[in-house]
Amino acid sequence: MVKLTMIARVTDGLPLAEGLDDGRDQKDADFYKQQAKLLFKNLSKGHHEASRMSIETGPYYFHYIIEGRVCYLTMCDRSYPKKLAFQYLEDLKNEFERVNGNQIETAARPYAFIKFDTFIQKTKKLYLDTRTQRNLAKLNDELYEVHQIMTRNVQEVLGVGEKLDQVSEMSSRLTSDTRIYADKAKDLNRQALIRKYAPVAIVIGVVLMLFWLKNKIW
Amino acid sequence: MQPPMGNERPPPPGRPVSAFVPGAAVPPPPFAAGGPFARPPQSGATAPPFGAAPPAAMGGFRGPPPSQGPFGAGPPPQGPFTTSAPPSQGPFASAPPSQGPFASAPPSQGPFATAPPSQSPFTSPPPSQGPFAAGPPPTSPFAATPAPFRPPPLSLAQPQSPTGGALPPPPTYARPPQTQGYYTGAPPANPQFPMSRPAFQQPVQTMPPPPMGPAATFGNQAAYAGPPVGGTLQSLVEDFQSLALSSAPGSLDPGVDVKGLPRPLDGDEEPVKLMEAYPLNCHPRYFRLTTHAIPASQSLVSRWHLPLGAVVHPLAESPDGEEVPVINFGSAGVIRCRRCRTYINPYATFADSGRKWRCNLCTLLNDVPGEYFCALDASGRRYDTDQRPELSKGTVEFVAPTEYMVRPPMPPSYFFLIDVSVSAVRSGLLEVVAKTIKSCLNELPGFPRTQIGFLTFDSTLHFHNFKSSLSQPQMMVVADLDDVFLPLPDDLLVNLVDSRHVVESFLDSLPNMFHDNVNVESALGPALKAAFMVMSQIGGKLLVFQSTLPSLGIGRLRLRGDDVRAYGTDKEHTLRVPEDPFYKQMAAEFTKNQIAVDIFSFSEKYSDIASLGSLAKYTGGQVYHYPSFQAPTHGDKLKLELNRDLTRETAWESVMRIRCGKGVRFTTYHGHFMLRSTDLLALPAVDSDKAFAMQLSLEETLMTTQTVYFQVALLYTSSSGERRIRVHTAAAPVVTDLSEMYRQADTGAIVSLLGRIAVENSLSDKLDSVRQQLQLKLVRSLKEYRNLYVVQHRIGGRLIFPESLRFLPLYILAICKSLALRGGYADVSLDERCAAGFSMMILPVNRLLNFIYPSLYRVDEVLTMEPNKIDASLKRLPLTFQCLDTGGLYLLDDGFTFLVWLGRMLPPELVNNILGLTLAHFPDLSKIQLRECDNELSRNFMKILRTLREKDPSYHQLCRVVRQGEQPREGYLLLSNLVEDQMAGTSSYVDWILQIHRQTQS
Repeated sequence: MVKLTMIARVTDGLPLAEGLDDGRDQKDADFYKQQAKLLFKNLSKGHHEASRMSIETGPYYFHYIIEGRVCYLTMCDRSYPKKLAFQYLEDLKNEFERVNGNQIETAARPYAFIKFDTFIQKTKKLYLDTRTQRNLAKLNDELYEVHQIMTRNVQEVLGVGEKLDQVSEMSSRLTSDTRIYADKAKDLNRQALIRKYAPVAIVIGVVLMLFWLKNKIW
Repeated sequence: MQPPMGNERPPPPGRPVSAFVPGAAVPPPPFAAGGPFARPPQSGATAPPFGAAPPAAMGGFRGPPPSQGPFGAGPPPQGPFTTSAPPSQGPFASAPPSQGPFASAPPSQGPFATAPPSQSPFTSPPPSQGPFAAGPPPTSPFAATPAPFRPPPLSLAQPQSPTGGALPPPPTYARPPQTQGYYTGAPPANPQFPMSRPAFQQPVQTMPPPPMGPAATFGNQAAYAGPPVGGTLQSLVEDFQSLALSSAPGSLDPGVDVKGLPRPLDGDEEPVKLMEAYPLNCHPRYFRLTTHAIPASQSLVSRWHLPLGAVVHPLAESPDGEEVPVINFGSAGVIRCRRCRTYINPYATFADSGRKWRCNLCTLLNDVPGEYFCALDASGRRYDTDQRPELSKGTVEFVAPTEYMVRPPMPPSYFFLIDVSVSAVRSGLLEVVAKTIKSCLNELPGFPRTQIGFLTFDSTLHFHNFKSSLSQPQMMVVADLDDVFLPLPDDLLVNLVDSRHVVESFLDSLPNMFHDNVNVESALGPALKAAFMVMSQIGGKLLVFQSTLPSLGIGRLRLRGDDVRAYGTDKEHTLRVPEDPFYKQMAAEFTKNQIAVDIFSFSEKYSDIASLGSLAKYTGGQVYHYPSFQAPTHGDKLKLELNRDLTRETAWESVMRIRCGKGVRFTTYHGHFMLRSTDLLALPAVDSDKAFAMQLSLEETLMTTQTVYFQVALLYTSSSGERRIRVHTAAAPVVTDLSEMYRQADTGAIVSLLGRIAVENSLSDKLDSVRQQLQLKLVRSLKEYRNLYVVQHRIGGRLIFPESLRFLPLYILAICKSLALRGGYADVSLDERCAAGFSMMILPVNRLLNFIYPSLYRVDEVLTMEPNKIDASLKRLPLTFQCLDTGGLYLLDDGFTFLVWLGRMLPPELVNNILGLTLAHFPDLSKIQLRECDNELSRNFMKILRTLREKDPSYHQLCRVVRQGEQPREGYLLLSNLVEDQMAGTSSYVDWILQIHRQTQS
C-alpha cells in the first residue's frame, strides 16, 4: 500500500508536489518524509544514481524513478509488489509530464504544482488494493521489467554524504579537543606546583607569624 | 509650510522682538528648547509658547516691533486665553489686528462684540443669532446675551482655524433648511457661507474646515493681511486646543457650547501625513501606532497614560493599483538578519561597497548573498534600489522557500457543522444556509483543490458520505456521544470538484431532510470532537451553525444568563467568560491542527456566546450573532455575511510575529489568535476583516537610538497553495518630549486599543469599574497634558487637549456606551454583549470607530436629488436626539445594522413610497422588509443603502425601521445609540466633558 508520494526536481531538490493525506494513520510519517527529503538532497548533489531504484528503510521501501530531471518517489510496505509501485510512479510521471512538462524548469517556488495532489490521490486509490482485477492484471503483465532494479539500504545511500560529514566533524572535534587538552595540561601543571610547595609555604608562613607575634607581644 | 520659520529650534526670526514686549510677563524660559515646544523636523514650524507670543506672532516682521505686542499687549494679568477679564477678554481680542478672522476687532473689544467697523464675520446676516454673534456691542461675550441658544459663556478657543470647529454653526442656525436647531457638521456648512455673506467678510470664507491643516489657513490670511504672520502663530496654535468651560457668573448653565464640541463626523482619520515624513513606511492601513513617537525613557512612558502600542491589520484590502509586490529571492533564500531574523527592508543600510548590510533593528552587520549583490552609489545607496520593491516599499510579500513549510501547502477546506434541531428548522435557517453554501460553491477559494464536508447534529451526529462515485450522499448516524468515532475513514471531507454533484444534491435536500425534526437537543460538544477528527489532518475552516444552547454530551452548557443577582457584584464577570474549560481546550486543539472556527449563533434565547465564542477567540475565527433569527427578515444578512466569509481571500496556516528595534518590546496582544510562544501569534486562518492590537513596553530605562523600527511578518499559505511572507516595515522616531507624543497621537489606534483592553477587562471585572478605568485613563492623560501648558498660558478655566486627540473624549464616552460595555443587566442581553465584545476584538480601526460612534444621516432631503448627487450630499450628523427633526427621515449606520427612523411629522407619501406600503395598515414595523419599489424615492433610498453597504463589505447591514415614539423599539434600537445623549445612568457629551474637565483640574 502506498504510504507517501513526493515529486521533486532533481537539479536542486525543490519539492514540486506531494500526496496530501499521506501519513494520516502513521505516527512516524514525518520521520520518513524527512528521510525522503534527505534523499532528494543527496540526489541533487549529483551522486549519480540509477534512474530507478528501491531503497529499504525500516519496514518500508522507497521506490523512485528519475525522468526528465524530476524524481517521483513513493513509500510502500515491504509486502507491496514492486511492480505495482513502479507502475504507479510511471502513471504519475506520464500525467505530470503531460500537465506540467514545460514548466518544470522554470518553477521557482516550492510545491509549485501542488494542484497535482488531486491526481496523486486519485491514482493512489487505484493502487491501494493489490488484489483488484486491474492490479492483478498489471502484476501478470510481463512487459514491465523490475527485476534488475537495484535495492539498497537507506543508510547506505544517505551514508555517502554522512560519512564525509562525520569525518569533517571528527576533525573539527579533534582541534577543539586538543585545545581543551592543552588547557587542562596547563592547569594540572599549576596544581602540581601548588601541591608541591603549598605545605612548605604554609609552614614558613606560620613560623613567621609566630615570630611576628612574639615580637609584638614582647 | 511657512518659509520664514525654520525647521529646528533656532530662535525664531521674530525673537529679538521679545525684548520689546511691554508686558513681558512671561520670562524667557519658555523659549528654552527641550520644553514642550521642541518639535521634530517634520512638523515644519516652531512653536513658541503663547505667553511669549509677541515675538512669535511677529514671526514675519523684520522691522521694529509695534509698540504693542499683539498677544502680550493686554494688561499683564491676561493671557491671551484667559476668558474672564472684560476689557480685552476673548482669546481673539488680543490677536494682532491684521490676523485671523477676529483680528479686525480693535484690541479692546470682545471678539464677538459687534463693533461696526470691524465686523467680525459672525455678526453679519440678520439671522445670525449664533451664540457669538448678537450681543450688544458693549457686552462682553461672557455675559449672557439674548442668543436663542445658550448664552455664550464659553468662548471656544480653538485657535486653529477658529471658524472651523466652533464657529460655523451660527450661520447654520439661520438657514431655513436646517431648522432642526443643530448644526450639521462644520465642514459641509462652510461652503455655503460665501453666498450669504457680504464681500468684506471674504477672509473668513477662506478658512478651511476644521480637519484641514492650519497651514492653508494662515497662508490665506497672509495674502490679505499684509506681513506674513506665518509659522509661529500657526505652530503656536497647533499645540493644543482648548474649550472654555467656566460658567458665567451667576448662571447655572454649565457654559458649554454643545455645538462647538469636537465631533468625528468624518470618521476615521488615517495618519496618512506620516507617509510624507516616512515614505518608506508601510501604509497606515496596515500598521498604526497609538502615537507615532516612541518615548525615550521609562519616566516618559509613565506620564503617557494612554496605551502605548499598535494596531496591525496585516491583510487590509489595498486599493486598486497599490497591490502588494511579490518577490521571489530564488536560490539566495529570503534575506534576513542572522541574529534577530528581521527581513530585508527599505531601512536596511548597505556597507562595505555592498557586500554587507546592516540590520536596522539590531544593527548587526550581515553578509549579502552573492546572488543579491549590487554595487553602491556615492551616497551608499544600491543602484538597484528602485527595481527592488523590498528596498523601496514598506509592504512586500516574499515567496517562502521550503524551510518555511512544515508540510506542503494544504488545500483550503471548509467543514460545516450544522445544528438541525427544531429551532433551526422552524426559523428557516437550514434553507438559507443550504442555499447560500450552494451559491458559493463556485467561488470558494482554492479551485481545484478545495475540500468540503458537512456534519449535522441534534441529539445524535449525522455524518454524510460524499464519495464521488455516489449519486446521492449517504447519511450515517452516530448516537454514541460519549465515545465519538468516525463511521468512515475518508469521504467525509472531499474534494469539491470531484464530488460536486453529491454535495449539491445534499444541499438541495438538506432543508427537507430535517423538515419534520422535533428534536430539541443539541450535542455540540461531541459534534466538535467529530469535526476535529475529520479535519485534523488538513486543517481549514470550521463553520458552526448553532441555534440552541448545547445541551448534550461533553461541553453542555447551563442557562446562566438570567442571573440578575450577579450583576453589580464581584461575580458579574464570570457570566462573560466561558463556563466550561472544554471549549478552550478544544480551541487549543483546533489551533494546533490549523483549524479556524467561525461561530454563527441564532438562538432567540440565551445560548452562551461567551463560551461558544472562545472557540473563535483562540482560533482566529469570528462570531456572528443573529438574535431570534427568522429567515424572512435576517435571511439576507446571513446570506451575505456567510457568502463573504466563504469567498473572501483567506490566508491559511499562518503565524504572525512583530519584531521591533532595540529597547522596546511588544508585551500584550489583543485580538483573536493563539499565542504560541511569547510573541508568535498562531492564526489558522486570517483575512482582510481582522485586525490585531498590541501593547508596547520599554525594555531599557533610556533609549539611545533615534528611531525605532517595527516589522510585522505574516507567514501564510494562500488559497492557491503558495506559501508567502507578508512583511510590513515602519519606523517611528524616539522623542524625549511628551508634547511631541501628544502631537503624533493617533486617536483611531488609541480608541481601538483602549476598546480591546476594555473588553478584555470586562472579562475579569465589573462593567462599572471597566468604564471607570477608561475614564481614569482619559482624565490622567488630559491632566498630564494640561500640566504641560497650563502654567505658561494661564488658561486656568479651560479644558485643553491636543489637536490630535480632540475626538478622544467622545470616543471613550462612546466605548463606555457601546453594546459590549454599556449599562448593566437590563440594558443589553448577555449574548449580545458578548457577541459585540468579540466583534470589537477583531474590527479594524475605521470599522470600530463607526461601530462605537455610528453614522447618522438625514435622508429625506437628499432623496429627491439626482441620483448621482446623493452620495456627495449625505452628511453625517452628531449623535444626539436634538439632531432629529420630527419631519425627517434618518438613517443610522453602525456597520452591522441600518436603522431607519421615521419622524412623526414625516409626510405619509414619502414613507409609503419608500416602504412600499401604507404605514397605517402595518402596525408592526419589526417585520418590515425594505424592497425596492417602483418609484424614484425608493430607488434613491435603496441606492443610498447600497452605497453605504459597498463601503464596508465585511458585514451586511440589516435594515430595520422604527417610528418616532415607538417604544420600546425606538429606545433600544436608536436612542441607546445616540451616544451624546444622556441615558439611564450615563452622562451626555456635555456632562462628560464637564466631568472630565473637573477631574483634570483637581
